[in-house]
Amino acid sequence: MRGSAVFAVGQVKDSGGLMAIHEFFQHHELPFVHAAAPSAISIDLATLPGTLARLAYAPSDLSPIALPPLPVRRPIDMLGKLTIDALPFYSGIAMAGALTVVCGGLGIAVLITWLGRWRYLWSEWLTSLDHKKIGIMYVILALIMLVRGVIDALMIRTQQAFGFEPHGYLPPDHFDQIFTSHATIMMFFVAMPFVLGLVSIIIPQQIGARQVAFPFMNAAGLWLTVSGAALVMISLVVGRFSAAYWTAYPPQSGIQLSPDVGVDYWIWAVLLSSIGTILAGISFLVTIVKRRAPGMQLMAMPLFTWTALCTSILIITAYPALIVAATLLGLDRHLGMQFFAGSNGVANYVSLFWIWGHPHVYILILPACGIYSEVVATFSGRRLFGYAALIYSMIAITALALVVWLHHFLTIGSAADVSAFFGRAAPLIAVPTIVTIVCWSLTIYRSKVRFSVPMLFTLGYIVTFLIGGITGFLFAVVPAGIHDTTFRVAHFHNLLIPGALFGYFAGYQYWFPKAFGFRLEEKWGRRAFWCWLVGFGLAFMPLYILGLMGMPQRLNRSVVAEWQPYLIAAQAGVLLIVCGVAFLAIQIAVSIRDRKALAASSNDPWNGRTLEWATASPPAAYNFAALPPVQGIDPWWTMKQAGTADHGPGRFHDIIMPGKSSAGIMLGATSFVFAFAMIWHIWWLAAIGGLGMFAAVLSQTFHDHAGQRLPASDVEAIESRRVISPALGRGAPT
Amino acid sequence: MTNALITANHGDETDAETAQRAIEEKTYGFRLCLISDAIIFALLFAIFIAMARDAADESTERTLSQLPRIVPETMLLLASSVTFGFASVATAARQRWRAIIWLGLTFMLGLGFVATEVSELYGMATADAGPWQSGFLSAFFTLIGTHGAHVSLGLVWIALMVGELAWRGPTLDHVHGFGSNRSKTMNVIDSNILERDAGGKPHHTFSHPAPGAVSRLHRLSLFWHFLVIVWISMFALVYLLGLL
Repeated sequence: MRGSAVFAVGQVKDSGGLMAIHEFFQHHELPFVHAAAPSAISIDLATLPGTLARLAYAPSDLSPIALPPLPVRRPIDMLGKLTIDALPFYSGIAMAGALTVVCGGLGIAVLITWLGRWRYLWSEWLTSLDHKKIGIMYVILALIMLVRGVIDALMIRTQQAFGFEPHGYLPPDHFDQIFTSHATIMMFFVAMPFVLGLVSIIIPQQIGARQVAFPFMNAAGLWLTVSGAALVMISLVVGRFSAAYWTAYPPQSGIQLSPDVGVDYWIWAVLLSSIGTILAGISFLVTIVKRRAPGMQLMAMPLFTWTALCTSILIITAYPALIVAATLLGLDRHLGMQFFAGSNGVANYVSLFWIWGHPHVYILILPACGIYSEVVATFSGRRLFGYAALIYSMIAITALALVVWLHHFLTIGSAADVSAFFGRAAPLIAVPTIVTIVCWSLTIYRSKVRFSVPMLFTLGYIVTFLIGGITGFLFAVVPAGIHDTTFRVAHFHNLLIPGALFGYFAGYQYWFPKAFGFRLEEKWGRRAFWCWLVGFGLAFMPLYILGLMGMPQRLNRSVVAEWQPYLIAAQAGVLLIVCGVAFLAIQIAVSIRDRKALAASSNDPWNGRTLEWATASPPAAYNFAALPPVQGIDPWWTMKQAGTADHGPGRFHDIIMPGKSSAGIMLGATSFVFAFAMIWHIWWLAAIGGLGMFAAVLSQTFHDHAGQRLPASDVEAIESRRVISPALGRGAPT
Repeated sequence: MTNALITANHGDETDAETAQRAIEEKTYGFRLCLISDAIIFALLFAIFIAMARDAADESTERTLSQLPRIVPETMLLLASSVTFGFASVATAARQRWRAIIWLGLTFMLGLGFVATEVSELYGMATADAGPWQSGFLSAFFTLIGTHGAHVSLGLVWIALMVGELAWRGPTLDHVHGFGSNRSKTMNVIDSNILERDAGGKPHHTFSHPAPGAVSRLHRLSLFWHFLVIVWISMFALVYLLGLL
């Protein structure tokens, strides 16, 4: 340690307090000097044991310098910074949240034990390398985290609607934690896993492949994301989550203003899920480029495959920026680095963050567009109008996202006017968006539309997204006045709820029978849809108005009485959305109960057009016994028209499939241990976790043929059990 | 636009074709990983240049003074790129032991590079020029450190590859075809016997590495040469920036 004296930052209350500090310093063998200017030394006595993190020392002029936390000597140093204080005894609400997580986890464990399903779960799911099962687990993760995210939203709305002075039922710091976790969860642990899950289930089937190119990489992506989500959940129980909002801008996220572990939880959750997402993106890109069925050219790929391709490209280019931003933030916090401390520091962080952030919006929206395209074609019963135009629109959106990416890249080091650029760029995105909406409308026009739940979500999107697009335009042309108001919150949600989440719901309803062999029950699906649609409108339209009235975003209590009616309306909207979530849950329960009745139709319940409906529902592990030859778009429809759909392969071959591997889940578990230990500075545990991660990856590195051979006779036996419905839409109008 | 693109026909391909396609996919995927990695380096470069511009005097003084140490360090890495090239040539010529020797040499050169780099950074950190002193030094340490960590990872990987080539040796997979029911230990025992039968010298058929190992070595070479390219950019942008 250098310098002559140690000072603390905070406030000294009285001489008794000063004595306490003196003893404290003596106890830790730190040099203590009574400074001439008492106001310069200060310490928050209430949090004395924890304040070492805030200690700063100055060689001469008492100006505090950020230091990495000093080691605190305690009887048990094995646990790093972790003490009993990390448990949430400070607030009843936090305690309730912690108990919910613990009881939920224990409840699931007890249930599985009671059912005796651990072995089944381990061998059929957790260690599976089957792309469909991995995708299903991704979607389950997304749905579980959606519940948490919606509960957070409900708490935020309640606070803003009813939290009068001094503060509502949530203290400001707790409110900010909930605010941060809501956005972090929705971005990284709902939207992203939902996309990756649907892509993982569907893409290989849609392109006529038996597996993704890198099954282990796919599993590693899943388990790293799960590990990140687990970190966010455990932060409810041990320690606390970040209160620096989901963008974690410095200096708010720096060590001085956020000395506790909250931001570290955010950093590690983001890092793990980012790495997982990049791995998944690479796996999907290679799969789409290299594994398409014979004859499937790029311009014969289904729209969802096209958007998955575009999204994978954006993931591979954009996500590294988030890794860099989060890592540099961590280095600033813990090694005392000065990346974001200088004059341009904050601007640099903002540039880095939005290099990822802006393309990320398209990463989430593009696959939803792909799903809408599939749904519109299927439920209108005709070929997509303007197939090529739609694809070029998707490519244009991707290109625009990359331009935005490059723009932010070049602004590092200068305080460029971000919003000025978006004033020009945002209207551009309207062109391809309008093209897609026109193409879908013309596909629907004068066709016999079946208004099933996926179609309802699609139509809901088209209507609400038009509003979102108009407000986006407003947002782009109106100067900064409304930029930091709830107008922005409303606009953002208007983009991402109909633009992304409705699409995932449509895909979830549309492909559920593909994954499980029975449809989801329609009635509860419709109820869920209406709750979501009306709830969305009720929750966010008032926020547009409040934004124009000048209500700032992220306000942690009610300030102006005139705003309250709108906030109560928004609160009602969120309650409707909660009902929507509940109805989705009921829908699953009812569908499982009535699965026999709902499975009555064929493998192809919607009379689909693309190749995923050519496989059994649920598909055999290998998807296709013989790879289907493809000519042009909608190959399954073509086969049905030609009457060749129910022709089995003439001859069966051995099929090589990847076996099982526990390395994926071990990687997830050890990365969780590693990150948790790094957050709490438990170095020995971090070493164990790091070695475990290395071992898990190493165990897969030298495998050349980690495959199982399925003999042709077995394939034939499986295929002969498969019932191909005779009424496969032959003669239906095109 | 796309009619010229021919998609892979993996309908009734043979096992050898399947293995070959898997290798091609892995190489392609690995190149994508390198793209992501290159973007990380590009961002660190951008941050570094921004920080250096804000601290122009300091940066010039700090980096130019290190040139005498950096030039031999660079030579070590460039030489390791050459020796890796020879290892690849040896592999292509199916000379397993020659490849191992060249890889060993690459390892030593890389180790020398990392050792020089660590001593440089350690010297700076103890001489009041640690990464916590200024934004410029933070960016400098992070950029150099990230590259050093990559090279270290490459060293671990080289050691593992040498281990695979030396001990696990050639497997019989490429002879018996895919999905052979024999265990890996069986294969090793078999090849040892065959090698002994051939008069102590490796039997011709078994003297070259298995295709899987060759492809791993290829990807490792991509990684290694990539790091050399990154280092050359660093040499120009970090150490010579003051001269520009």
